[in-house]
Amino acid sequence: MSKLDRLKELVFESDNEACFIERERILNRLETEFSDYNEPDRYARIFSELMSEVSVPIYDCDYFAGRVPEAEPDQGMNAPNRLLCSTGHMNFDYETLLNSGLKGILASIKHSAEEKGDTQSKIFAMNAEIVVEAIRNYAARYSAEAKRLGRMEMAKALEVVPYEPAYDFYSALQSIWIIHMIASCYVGNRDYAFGRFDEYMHPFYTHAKENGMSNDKICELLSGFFIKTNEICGRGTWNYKEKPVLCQASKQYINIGGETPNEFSRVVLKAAVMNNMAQPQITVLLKSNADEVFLEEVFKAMSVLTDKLHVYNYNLVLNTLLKKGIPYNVAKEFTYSACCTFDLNYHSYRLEYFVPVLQLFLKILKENEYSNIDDIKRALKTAIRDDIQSDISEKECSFSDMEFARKYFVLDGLFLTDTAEESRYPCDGNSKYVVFNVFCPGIATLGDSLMVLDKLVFREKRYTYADFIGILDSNFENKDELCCEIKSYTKFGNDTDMDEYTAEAGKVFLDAVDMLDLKDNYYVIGGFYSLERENVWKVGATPDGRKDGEVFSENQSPTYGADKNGITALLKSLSKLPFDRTATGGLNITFSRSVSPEILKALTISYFELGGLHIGISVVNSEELKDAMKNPDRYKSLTVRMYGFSEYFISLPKWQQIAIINRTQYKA
Amino acid sequence: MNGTVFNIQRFCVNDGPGIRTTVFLKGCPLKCVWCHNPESHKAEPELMFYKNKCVNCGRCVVMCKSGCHSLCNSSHIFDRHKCIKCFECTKTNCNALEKVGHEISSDDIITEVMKDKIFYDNSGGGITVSGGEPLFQFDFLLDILKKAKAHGLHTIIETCGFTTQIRIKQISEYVDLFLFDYKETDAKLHKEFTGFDNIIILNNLKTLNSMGKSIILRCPIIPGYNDREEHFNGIANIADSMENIVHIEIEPYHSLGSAKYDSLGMNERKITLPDENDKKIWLAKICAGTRKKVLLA
Repeated sequence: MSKLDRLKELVFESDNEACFIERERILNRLETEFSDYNEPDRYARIFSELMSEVSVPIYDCDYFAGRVPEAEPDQGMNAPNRLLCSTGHMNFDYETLLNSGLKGILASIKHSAEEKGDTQSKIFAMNAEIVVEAIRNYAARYSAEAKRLGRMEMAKALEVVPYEPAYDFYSALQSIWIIHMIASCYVGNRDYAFGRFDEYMHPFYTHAKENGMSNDKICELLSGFFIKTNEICGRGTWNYKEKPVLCQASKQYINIGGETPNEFSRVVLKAAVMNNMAQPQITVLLKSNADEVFLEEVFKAMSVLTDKLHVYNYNLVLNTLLKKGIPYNVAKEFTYSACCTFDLNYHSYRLEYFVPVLQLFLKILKENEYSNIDDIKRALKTAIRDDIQSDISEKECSFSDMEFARKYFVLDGLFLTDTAEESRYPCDGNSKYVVFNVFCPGIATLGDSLMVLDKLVFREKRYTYADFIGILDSNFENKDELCCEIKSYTKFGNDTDMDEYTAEAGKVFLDAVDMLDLKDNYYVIGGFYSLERENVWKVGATPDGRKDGEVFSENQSPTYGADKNGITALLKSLSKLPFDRTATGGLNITFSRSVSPEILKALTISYFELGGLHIGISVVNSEELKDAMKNPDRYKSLTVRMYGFSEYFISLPKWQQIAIINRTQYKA
Repeated sequence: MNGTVFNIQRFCVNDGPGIRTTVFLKGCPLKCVWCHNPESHKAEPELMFYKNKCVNCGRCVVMCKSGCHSLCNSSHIFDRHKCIKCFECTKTNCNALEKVGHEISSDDIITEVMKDKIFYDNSGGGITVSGGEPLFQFDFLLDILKKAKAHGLHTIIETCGFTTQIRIKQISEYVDLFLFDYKETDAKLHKEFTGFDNIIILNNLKTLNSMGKSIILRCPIIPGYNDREEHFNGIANIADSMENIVHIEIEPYHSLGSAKYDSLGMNERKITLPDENDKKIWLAKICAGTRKKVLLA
């Protein structure tokens, strides 16, 4: 078995109930030892102790050092320990790490702290120095272990990185991996993303080529790196038998493309195809008129990787950001991290909020009697605005109410441009760019509901307002015929005039976002996206014929089964949504059989020309999925796309498996 | 001009190059024993009744003008002989009753087809007119194709080729690519399988080739009927003998039309489904005899 195959096999052998056992034991002990230690360097001291004690295992199949021992928690163990818990969900500035090393980052922080001279900055710099030294020592221990095992390239790299700048392709990947693993697994949180990987790795790739490294070798190393990203999340899913680690179900986004895709962008795609595992998730930022060679590689990869690669409309997002007043040089570097959430690359501190739009909608419907659909939209807009405003206020309170261990410093602060350059704690809401992603779940359910209300109550007057609300309150009791009739209406997703209701609903949401009262450094990005746990649908019946407990529409998709005119009609419907005011959220399309790269390319490019934002696909059919439910052992590697990422189908709970089976499946 | 259509399907990727919208015209002169579109045989609209989707709600009984729907012991009985094709029952919005075939103008067809123009432009696709047999509604087809060309669309017709020489010549001016069915080499067997021999069809094929029209030869292979060496050789020979046949597409028999036979009250001929190995063998045999590319649909 090849080294790569063995590395892959280890991921599938991983135990979904195991914790990072050394981390837990040591942190639990340190929590007691440091219980009375209230000095401002508390975080760094605990971190330093932790990193000095954990082991440094290297397996024969490891291309890069950095591995966390796993075991099921000891009896009575409280895992995972949240003592150092970080913020997660962001792209790290690996470009600066590779070019300046931790040494350079630290120098910048210290310089800034000295210049500013305030206590907070000094505390940040003091913590940074201890943390950097701890990582340097940890790398040195790994280097010694590699030397002992005769792994000389690895040993040599770890003598240098991550403290010093990377000096070649291998050391660059090693430097990134060690930091990524520490942030995800030891400090702990999920969804750290790799930023514009093809951009900052390109010089190292060029260097490798100039020094005679073959493309095969480069792909092999990249594949060895990519497989490691699966070690962070194992096979666990977000909402089922949560693995007792803080990075459980962490989705590993690698952003490529943008303004200037390069030769290395294509190598990344080739290596991802070679790897073809759930992680990393390749996020392609596709500009209009991208060169044909890049396009060909993207869609070839998409046809193989299916749910593990997704595409954003680069030009559309860039324009949205420019309209928000973000300068071009910052805006053009935007990225995504897991859940299709938007990030200003390396700059921002990012927060997210799922607005309970359907709950707000039902609440306002029942509070007042409306005489037309426009009044409902106005009331809903205000309710959404107030709800988001209140969430932002709550988050501001929590900024100043962080638990003591993390009050002055978290590891993330080293790897965000704003905070590292200004010696500033990232979670205080004072970063140069504080980006809020606010999501509108169930947009099609909302749009279809407006359509049905307008038709039955206001236009045809078949029911009085009060009677129709009564029908909703009774959950369509004894109204099967009405339910059946409503379900037969042409709804959002068929490229008809009915789409306007959903487009209008989208505008209501984004208008509410525009009405927010914000600080100058706050950027609220609205989008259409959902992320659900069981019982989220228990909000009551909705006017579109959906009974209490039945699913909402997923992400930007129509309600299940409503789209009957094929995928081109679907994409044309979707393009009526006001995507030119969003930068976040996603669309998942399921094909029942494989689709050629040429067709995927034509669909995506056409959709983006029409104003679409995002495309992610799954290729599965319901028979295969039903069989996987019956015979999970045969489908260990079967993945499907849901929300903003891919998941192992057999790891999902039954209710979610059924929801996926019920999605519209397009034939190609 | 108006005609009868039984489906307009967007995002077709197997009816010629690129992303296409396929318009299915109702009515066909042949009666192929393996046909998987039985709803395309008759030119006029028909009622399809899917017994397995019926929930015996009885709403259709109330709406029916001719008494063809009734409930017996709470079970829905449908007497097709009494049906006057008023289609009132389909207004119940249930899943069990469906009107197949509707009258539509060529302008409305073009409006529908043009909705996906951007997808055609980015994929090299366009409109495909299929059936039934599209030439069965010749004037309507001609009108559609003329309008399609006027809108700058790439045009394809999928045809069995059973029409007059005059018509095939007349239509060819507005067709960029023909998907031409080649069902059986032996004239007698062709008559047995489809109701007519293949003499007219072959003449039309030759005419199109001599006119320089691009042709894809589409060959349904049906176990127990035309899965014979002679026919495989016939496919290869005809493809090699005509320079404008771009490639050959093998279309193995499938049973996706079974439910439709039941719903129309028609009897379906029992045909054995080929397995993957059968298909590979057919492909290999045809490939061995021709210089042209052979694709398995």
